[in-house]
Amino acid sequence: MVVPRRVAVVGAGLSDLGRVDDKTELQLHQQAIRRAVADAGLTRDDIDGLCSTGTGVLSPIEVAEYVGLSQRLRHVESSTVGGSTWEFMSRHAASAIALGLVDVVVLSYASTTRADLKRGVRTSNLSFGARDNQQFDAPFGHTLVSKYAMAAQRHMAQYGTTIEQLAEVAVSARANAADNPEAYYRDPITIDDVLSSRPIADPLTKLQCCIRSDGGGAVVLAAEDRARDLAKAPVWILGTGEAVSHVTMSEWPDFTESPCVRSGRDAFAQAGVTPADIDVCQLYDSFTITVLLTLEGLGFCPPGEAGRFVEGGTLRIGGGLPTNTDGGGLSACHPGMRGMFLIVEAVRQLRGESAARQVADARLACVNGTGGWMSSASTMILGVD
Amino acid sequence: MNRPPGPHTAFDAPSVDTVPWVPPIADQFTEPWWQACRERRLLVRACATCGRTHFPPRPACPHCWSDQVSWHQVTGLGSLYTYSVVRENDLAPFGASLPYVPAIVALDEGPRLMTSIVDSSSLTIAVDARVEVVFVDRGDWTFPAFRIA
Ligand SMILES: [Zn+2]
Repeated sequence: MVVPRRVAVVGAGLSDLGRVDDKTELQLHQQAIRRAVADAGLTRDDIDGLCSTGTGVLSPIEVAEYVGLSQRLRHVESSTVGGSTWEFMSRHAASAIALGLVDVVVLSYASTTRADLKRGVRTSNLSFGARDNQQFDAPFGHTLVSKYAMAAQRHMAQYGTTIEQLAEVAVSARANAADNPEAYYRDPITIDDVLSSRPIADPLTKLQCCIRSDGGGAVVLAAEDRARDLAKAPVWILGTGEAVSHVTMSEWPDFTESPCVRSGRDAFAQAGVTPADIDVCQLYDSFTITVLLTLEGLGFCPPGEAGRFVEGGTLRIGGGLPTNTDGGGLSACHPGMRGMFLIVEAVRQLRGESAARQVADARLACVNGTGGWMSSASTMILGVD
Repeated sequence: MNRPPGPHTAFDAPSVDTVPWVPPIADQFTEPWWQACRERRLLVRACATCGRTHFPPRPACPHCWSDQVSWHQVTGLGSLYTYSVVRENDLAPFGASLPYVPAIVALDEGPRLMTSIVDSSSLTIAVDARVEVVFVDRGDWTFPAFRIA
C-alpha cells in the first residue's frame, strides 16, 4: 500500500509578457520553465516530469526536446481541453506525484497570439472544421464570442441578469490591473465605457472579451519531502476536480451552468473547505459571462445570483471576494489560453509576493480554469501553512 | 458595411437569400438527414429501446447505447433557447453578412439544434420565442434555418 504524499506548487515563473515580437513560442516555453525552476531553487537535473502543450506535432515532446529534458522524463502529458488544460494537468501531475510515480513536474505554456495576429499568420476567428457533429454546428458561423454570448443571453433572460452587471466584471478586472505593472491594460474604465465599446456578439462588447497578448508561464509541482526545504514556502494543492461538458453547442444541457459545478464539488470536498473559506479567487475570465457562471457553479452564490453578487466591486482587491487580482484575461494577460496564468497569480498571492495588489492575509485560494466554450472546467484549492 | 452603433439597436435578421452558411462535411451515415432537408423534412433520431430522441444523429443511442435507433421526422416547430447577434467575424463568408443571428432552437420533440434566425425583426427575437423551420437552398445543399413564428 502506497501512502499518498502531499503535493505543493514550489515554483512559478512568467516569460516575457504583453508584446513579444522577438521570440517564438518554444523560446518563451524555455524562458518560463527556467524561471519557474529557478524560483523553486531547483535545477534541470531535478525535473522528471513535464506537462505542456507544444505548438506543432507531438506536443509536449517538442517542448521537452527544446528544453533538453526529453531523455529523462517519467511523467509526460498533453491534455487538450482548452484554456483549463493546466488545471487538469496539475490534478494529474499531483496524483502521479502523490503515488510516487514522479517527483518534480514542470507545467508550461506559451503563445504569441498577439504577434501572430499582427503578422497576419492567423485569423482572429478560428475555423474548427465541419465533420461529424460539427457538420450541424459549424456551418452557421457562430464565433467563439457568440457561443459565450448565447450563454449570457440565456442567463439574462432566465435570471434577469443585466448588461451593467456583466460589465462590472470587466470594470473590476481593470481596477485590479491598475496595481499590476505587468498588466497589458491599466487605465481605469467605467460601466459606460464597457457598454459603449464595439459590439462583437450581442450582448458582449469588445471590453467584455479577453485581450490577445503574448507570453508564457510555468509552474513546478513537487512532493512534500522535496517541497519543505526549497527556496519558497510550499503552496499546497489541497483539492482538485475536473469535468467536461460539450463540444457541439446544442449538446450543452444548460447554458447557465458551467461544468465547474462538478469539478468544484470534488475540489472543495477533497480540500475539506467551503467557498466561504476562500480568501482569493483566480477564475478564468475569457468573457464577463464566464466569471458569472463560474461564481455560481462553484457555489460562491446561488444559481442566477452572480450578477447581483459582483455589483459594488465584490471582485476587486479590497472587495468581498478578490478575484483575478492581476487584472485577469480581460485586462492583464491572455495569450490564447489563460489556465497557466491563473495558477501563477494564485501562487504569488498566497506567498505574499503581489506588492501593491496583494490581498491581505491570503491563505486559501480557489483557481478555476474553463476551456473551449464552457466545454471543460478544472478547479484547484491551494493553501499555505 | 453598416455596423450598428450599439448592442440594443434594432435590425432585421438576414433573409433566406443572405443568411451566411458554409457547406458541411457530410458522411455516409448523415447523408439521409441532408437529403431529407432537400425534401423539406427535418429529422432527428428516435430510440425504440428508451423512447428518447437525440441530435446530432448517431448510429447508436447516446442515452442508453441501444442500436434500435431510426430516423424520425419532427414538426419543425420549437422555441428559441438562446441566440446571439454576430457583429464581427473575419472569416469568409460570414464577414460579408453582418449582422446575423446564430441560435439554439429547442424542438418541440426534444432535441436542440444550432441554426440561424432568418426573416425576423430583432424586435421579435427573444429567448423562448416560438419559432418554425425554414428550409434554405444553397447550391447542392439545403439547411434548416428558423424564423420567429
Ligand atoms: Zn436509447
